[in-house]
Amino acid sequence: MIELNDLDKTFHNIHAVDHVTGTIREGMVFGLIGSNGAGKSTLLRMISGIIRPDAGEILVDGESVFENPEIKSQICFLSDSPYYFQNACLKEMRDYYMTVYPTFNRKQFDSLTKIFNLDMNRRINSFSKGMKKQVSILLGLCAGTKYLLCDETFDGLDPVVRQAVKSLFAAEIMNRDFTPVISSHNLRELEDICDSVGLLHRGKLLLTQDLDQIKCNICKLQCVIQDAHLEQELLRNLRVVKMERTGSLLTLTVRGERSEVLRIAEAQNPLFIEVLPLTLEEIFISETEVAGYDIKDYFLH
Amino acid sequence: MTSKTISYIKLIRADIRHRGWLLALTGIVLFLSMPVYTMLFLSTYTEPVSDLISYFPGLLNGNSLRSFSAVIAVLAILTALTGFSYIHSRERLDFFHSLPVKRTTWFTTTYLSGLIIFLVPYMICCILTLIAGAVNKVMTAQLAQYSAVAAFGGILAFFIIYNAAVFAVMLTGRTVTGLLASLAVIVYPSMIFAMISSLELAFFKSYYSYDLNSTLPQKLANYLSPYELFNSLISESAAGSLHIGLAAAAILISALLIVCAALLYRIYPSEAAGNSIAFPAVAPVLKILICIPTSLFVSLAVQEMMLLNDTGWIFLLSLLASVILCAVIEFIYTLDLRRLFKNWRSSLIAIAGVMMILCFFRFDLLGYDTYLPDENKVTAICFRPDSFSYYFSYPDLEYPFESELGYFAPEEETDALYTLARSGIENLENGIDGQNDSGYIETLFRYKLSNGRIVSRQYPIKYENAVTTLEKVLDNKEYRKELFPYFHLDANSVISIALSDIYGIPDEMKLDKEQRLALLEAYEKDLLNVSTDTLINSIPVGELTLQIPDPQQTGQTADATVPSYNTGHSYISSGFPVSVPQLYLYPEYTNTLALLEDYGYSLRSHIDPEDVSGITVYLYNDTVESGRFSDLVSQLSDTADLLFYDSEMTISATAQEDIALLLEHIRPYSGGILDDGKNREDYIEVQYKNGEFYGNVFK
Repeated sequence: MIELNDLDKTFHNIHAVDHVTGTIREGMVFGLIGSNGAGKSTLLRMISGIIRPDAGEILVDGESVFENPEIKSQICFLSDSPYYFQNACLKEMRDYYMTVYPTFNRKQFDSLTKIFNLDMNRRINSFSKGMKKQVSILLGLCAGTKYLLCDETFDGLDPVVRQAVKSLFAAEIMNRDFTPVISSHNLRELEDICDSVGLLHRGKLLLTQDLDQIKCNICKLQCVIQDAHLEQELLRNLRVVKMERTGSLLTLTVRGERSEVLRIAEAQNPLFIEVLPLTLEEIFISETEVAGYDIKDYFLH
Repeated sequence: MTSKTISYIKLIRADIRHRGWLLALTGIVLFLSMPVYTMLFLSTYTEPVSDLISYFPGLLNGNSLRSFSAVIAVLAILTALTGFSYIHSRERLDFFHSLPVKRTTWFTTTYLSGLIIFLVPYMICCILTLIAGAVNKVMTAQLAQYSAVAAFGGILAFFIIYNAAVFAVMLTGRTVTGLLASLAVIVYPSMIFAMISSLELAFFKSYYSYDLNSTLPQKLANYLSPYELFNSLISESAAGSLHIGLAAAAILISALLIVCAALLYRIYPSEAAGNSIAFPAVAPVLKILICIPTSLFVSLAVQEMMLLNDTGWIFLLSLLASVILCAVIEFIYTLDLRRLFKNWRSSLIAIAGVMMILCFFRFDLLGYDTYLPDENKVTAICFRPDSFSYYFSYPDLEYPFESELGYFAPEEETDALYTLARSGIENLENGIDGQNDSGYIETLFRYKLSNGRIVSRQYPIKYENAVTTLEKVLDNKEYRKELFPYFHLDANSVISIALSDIYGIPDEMKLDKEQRLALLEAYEKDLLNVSTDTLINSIPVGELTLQIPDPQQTGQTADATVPSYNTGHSYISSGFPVSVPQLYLYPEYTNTLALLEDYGYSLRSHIDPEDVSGITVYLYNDTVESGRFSDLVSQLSDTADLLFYDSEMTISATAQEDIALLLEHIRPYSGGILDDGKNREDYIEVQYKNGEFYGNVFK
């Protein structure tokens, strides 16, 4: 388990991570989502021991990560722009990973490169951006570490490879003690694969929950209530995150279980009522809008 | 422990593999510069094999081939920059620091692999060079020993530059600034200490600058500056005499640099990659530390180049240089022209610092010029008027020439000299300039203190006081023996003696060894008894020039590097006899003159006009204006060629009657022991029919 206790990091005058507290449980896929510059990469770099937090602590399996090779040997960090040695081929990178990760699974790597059709002797510098990402994922996966931290790693993969990687992750989780942490902007991708997510905005962790739980606790309510008093009564009784009105149709993003929200809304005698689940993207937008991250209206005025 | 060792070795091996190009480059460059160059050199070498002792070891560390020593320095910087350049790239830094390896392990393995990349090819090339020497049959046990010391010096020289560059890389976030910082770290202490000496020279009138090596700033620079250490290690080790103190200083400074680098690496912020300075908090401090000495250094260099006497220019130039430097440093930091003066506070501090230092020296806040050691602490004083430089010619070969620093006067004269020094300070305070004001002579005083320290100052001393003092100190025979060059050489080693008279042309005397020794004995006797008044005022009737063997060839200073140039005193050249001229003969030297007569060498007192082909007279403008020689000029025939240039006159006479006339009015030029050349005299050049010529002055 990865525990983040009151984690704080400032670069010059930029508060990249602002007193973040949370946990990443083992054996599940954790998605880290957030606006641009929210601090996702910084958080992952702190978890992988690249940078030391200014305050707070990171415990991986109960131990501090920074300058702790024993714990770091259980963590593999895949950067958004992976680095390979000058003129190195897959074989050389594999051998280097074998040097630094005692748990590296060479057999698995060799077979996976064949499956992904990656030439072992070709210079990585001559690979396309997507292929480089594939190499990065395969190296990270075969490192045999318990935690795999992927920073925007899925971006740039074609849909087929993306599906294959998802399957690989699922298989690894089934076969061994494996916890991938994935940060991405592609929320639809994360929705498919993640078991739980953390939402970062301006360095703060807005929420961290199981995806199912998040989806259960927020929904979209569309209704038409003719009586203004009843409508006000409805708004008072619900925990409204966001409200939009199109004619007499009221669209609300509401916190709470769908059945409970439906029960409260029906009590106000609506002419029309419908409760819909939110996609992860909608949840992200709603939550960040609440936190003041809304720039789309600037262009509509 | 075993697994840890293996892991270190694996990481070092991996790093060397990834820097294979550097290993190859190092190997090729060293191979060409060492064994290949040595083979080529030896194939054309024609001098005695024994002479190689002074050259061959230098082939192993660049002392004999300066471009090779530069190669060692460049390789050291390149190895440091390529090894640690990953900290200047965020991707690479993230990659390495995310791996399960401690930062100290990264630092150690990268550092060691850099050393291996240089040391392995270097050692191989050293062995190949020695083999090349052996194949050419020049290798001896002594040469091999000297070569080993030279190779060790080469390694230490690499080591010091490598460590300085690694330290500099840790301060920066970009490779280009890393390179600039490396150069700065390497030369910074030298620049600081050179600047202090230059400021003292520019502002302190009593500062004596001949022996810069003995000054405290230069001594510190020799042991603290990577640049100075590098040069000293190369040259000393090539001479087979690597000083233990120098090696220890190199190791200590290296250790200090590398410990600082390792500590900085541990706290190196990953966000520093791409920034000029890794630690923004220290950026203003670094700016001030760089700006102050560099501004002063630049302004002093410009002042010297432009021959500006007014020290006011230093203030103006330093102000200008500091403003420009602050802006340049800010630009290097930010690469943004709009932010050149954003951090104006640190710029202001740097500029104020420059001005404060200049004021400190300008107004002599420490009282340098008025400093006189406590009388009770002075054990001896050396008194050396400027004129000694012109009057004496010593057979010194090793810089700094001890004779240039003077000799300590007899103890009983210390009080009198102390009083004289005090009067010198008063003269200085009264604005008297010993170099230009007549009636005064610039004199060096060196105080030997009870704690062993020697303090040097120079003051203008009244001519009469200098005469009185000289008379007193020359009463002491032991002091005479120290002062006169004759006593610095062994009479038995003199190869030949040349004699010159009023003609000024030295002619080697045909004497056997016994005669030579007898003549020198007579000269010694005369020299010990000659009066000070004669030395000051009498005109010599002749001059002896002694030839002694090159001390290096005779093994007297086997380890010394003998310069093959004119030292300004004795005329020397490696492998050839050394000339010791200016052993004047005064009419008072009855013993010497009598013996010369006995040997058949009589000193002529007149120049025969028949021997002269022409005379050229150079008259200064004040002589021309005063009309001092108008009568003489008017007596010259029409064939005399008179040429005026910028109020000065040149007369060329070739007619016999003109030559005879002029010869009646001239005497050979030779100043007395207290003649500092301040009174410029009109110069007359006599050209003899045998093609030689000699300088004279008017009687």
